[in-house]
Amino acid sequence: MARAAVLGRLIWRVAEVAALVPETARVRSLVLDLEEWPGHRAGQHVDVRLTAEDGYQAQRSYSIASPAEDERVTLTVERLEDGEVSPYLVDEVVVGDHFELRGPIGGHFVWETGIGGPLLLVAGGSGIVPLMAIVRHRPPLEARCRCGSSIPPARSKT
Amino acid sequence: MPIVSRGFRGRRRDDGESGRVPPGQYTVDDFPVLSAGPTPHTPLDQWTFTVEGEVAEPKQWSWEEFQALPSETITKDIHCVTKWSKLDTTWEGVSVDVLLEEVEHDAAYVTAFCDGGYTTNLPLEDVTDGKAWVAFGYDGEPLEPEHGGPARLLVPHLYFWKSAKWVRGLRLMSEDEPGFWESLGYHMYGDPWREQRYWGD
Repeated sequence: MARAAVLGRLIWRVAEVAALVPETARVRSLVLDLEEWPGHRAGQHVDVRLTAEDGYQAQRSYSIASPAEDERVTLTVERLEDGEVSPYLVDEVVVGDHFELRGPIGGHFVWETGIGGPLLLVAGGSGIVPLMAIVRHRPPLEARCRCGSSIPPARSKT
Repeated sequence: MPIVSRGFRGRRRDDGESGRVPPGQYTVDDFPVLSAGPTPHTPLDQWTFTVEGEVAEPKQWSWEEFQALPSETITKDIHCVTKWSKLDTTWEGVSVDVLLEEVEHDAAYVTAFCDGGYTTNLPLEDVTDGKAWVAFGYDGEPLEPEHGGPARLLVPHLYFWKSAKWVRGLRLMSEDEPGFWESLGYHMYGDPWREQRYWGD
């Protein structure tokens, strides 16, 4: 079933921003409503495509932060100061905005409860995002999570 | 018909890059590192490069023998499926043509195999006639382990996951067989100009 999620063509879907959650001074989570989301496995990512009024487009990949059982898909994005897409997602997007997304992508770095534990999850910076999808998935017997960051969190969520 | 993202302007490319960056890609000045596993460190005295599979007789080179092969300096643009492209990267390596001269074969496909178990598949015609190299130098220096050193495959006209890091040989085959990422949702061929990122693209 989960394997089927990566089979076939990955079509672009319209995502509607349902909620925005500030995580730190430069990190924000975007909770998205998607039509007919095929489901994903913890650890997978999506491609986001933004289109300007003149048709110019930019694509980036972002990890999914929400567990497989959530109906909505959450992306947690860190703003890169010289970035093209992340400043838009972190600073400009408001609830109700739309952009395109396709996925889920990546069948290697995934975890499901059936794989078992214990888990040691180690991340640096925004690398924590796919690990959050794993931790938020039905908790394993034991999971230890270590994350390094160059900035203190403004408001710790975890 | 793509939907417009309210308020998104984006950053237009300057003229120097137009026509050189495939759709959906952006250029970087640094050299991002993405690997599916830990970085192997094979000592050079244990390193070999092998051409095997459907060949009359397999051929193997030691590091020393490999260094003695004719090499060339190549400057190419590279394109990673994770969206970054890097223009004018300069490599030193041995053309795959030089390696395949040493074996008798009738193959149509190759699988590159690597330290750590990584594999990737390519049509033979995409690694011959000056289209692919086994590179051991980058920017005038020995290729660093995090970028695939001591040697990586370099197939710049395809997405860069085809340019397998830590390559140790080529397996020649009559049939195409998916490699590591090709088994996990990524495209069998991977042409950046046709945006062949994932299955079905």
